[in-house]
Amino acid sequence: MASGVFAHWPNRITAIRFAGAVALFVLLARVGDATAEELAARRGEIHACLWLFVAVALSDILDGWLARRGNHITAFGRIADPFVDKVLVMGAMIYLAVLPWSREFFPAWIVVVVLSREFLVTGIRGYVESLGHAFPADWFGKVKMLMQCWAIGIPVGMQAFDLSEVARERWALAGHMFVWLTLLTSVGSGLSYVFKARKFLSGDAR
Amino acid sequence: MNWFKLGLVSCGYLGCSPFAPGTVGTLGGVAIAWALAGQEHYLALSLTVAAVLYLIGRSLGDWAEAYAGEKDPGIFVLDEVIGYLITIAWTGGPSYLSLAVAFFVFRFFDIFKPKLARRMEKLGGGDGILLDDVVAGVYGLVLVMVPARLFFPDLPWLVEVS
Repeated sequence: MASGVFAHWPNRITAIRFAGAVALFVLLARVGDATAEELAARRGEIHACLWLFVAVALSDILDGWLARRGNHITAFGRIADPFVDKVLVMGAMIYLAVLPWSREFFPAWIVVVVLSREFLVTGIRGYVESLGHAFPADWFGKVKMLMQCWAIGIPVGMQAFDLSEVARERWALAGHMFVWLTLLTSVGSGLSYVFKARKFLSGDAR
Repeated sequence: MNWFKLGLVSCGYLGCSPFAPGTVGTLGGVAIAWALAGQEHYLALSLTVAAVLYLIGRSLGDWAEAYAGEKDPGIFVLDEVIGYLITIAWTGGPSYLSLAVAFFVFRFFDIFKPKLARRMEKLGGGDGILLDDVVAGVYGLVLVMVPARLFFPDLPWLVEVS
């Protein structure tokens, strides 16, 4: 039996996903301050951003499934997998909140609220699990992740493809809608986690 | 009379296909939608056809189950035809692109029956056979076909009505 953190595929995939997230941020930084017009001449780079994001986001399903199926659940995986997820989506949201062609979609305060929710849930989950109780992501949290991925993917995709005026308007509307759905499901799922953990939270923490 | 009833519920014996009767039967729906595509009142016509087929299917549901000796028999494909016509319920006539996309979309929802569609199967009899595919058809229309037309408005979804 092979040993070590990277003996099995789930943790290897997590490491590759982290590298993919970092590469995405490098690509976004390279695109940098280009305006939407300048970007039209650099579609290749935006396409790379879009498909890298899609690949890293979707591979989350793959490594979790492999880990459970092969029973390769390690402490490293438990920490690193949600860490990479959060680095990916929060990092992407922060980049998109700053870059000139995407910032209309991401008001800073929404990013702050979603980020705060992540800190809160991570803190609660760590505490409850340290007490020896399971605290898995529920369907509400997964819906939040799905909304968040659309909210990030749509603005990037809108730059990657040469859309007609009508198509652009409709995708922009959908993009704004998913950003607001991200806010709502973040707050909602955050509250539902707090509610689930309330019997631990009111307990003696010594 | 059995040959006639069988011809009706299997959509012209398409459902008697030895392989993938549901998928082959759906082609009957494609043929109907294609035949109606050039008509001015496509939506009204196709939904009328679907409603008539529903009434026929409903009255022959028990006969089909007795004839095939099983619940929701494979030879019975009117449900697939109706579901497909719902997935492609455009306000205008569907183009070849629409016909093809709706075919795969409807088969997807029909095979991976979502929760609500599965609940319909429990009704039993003609309604039980038919309603799950009606629900699958609505899923296909609402979750894929309408968003596809909204978000890819430049693709040719409709034919010019002559």
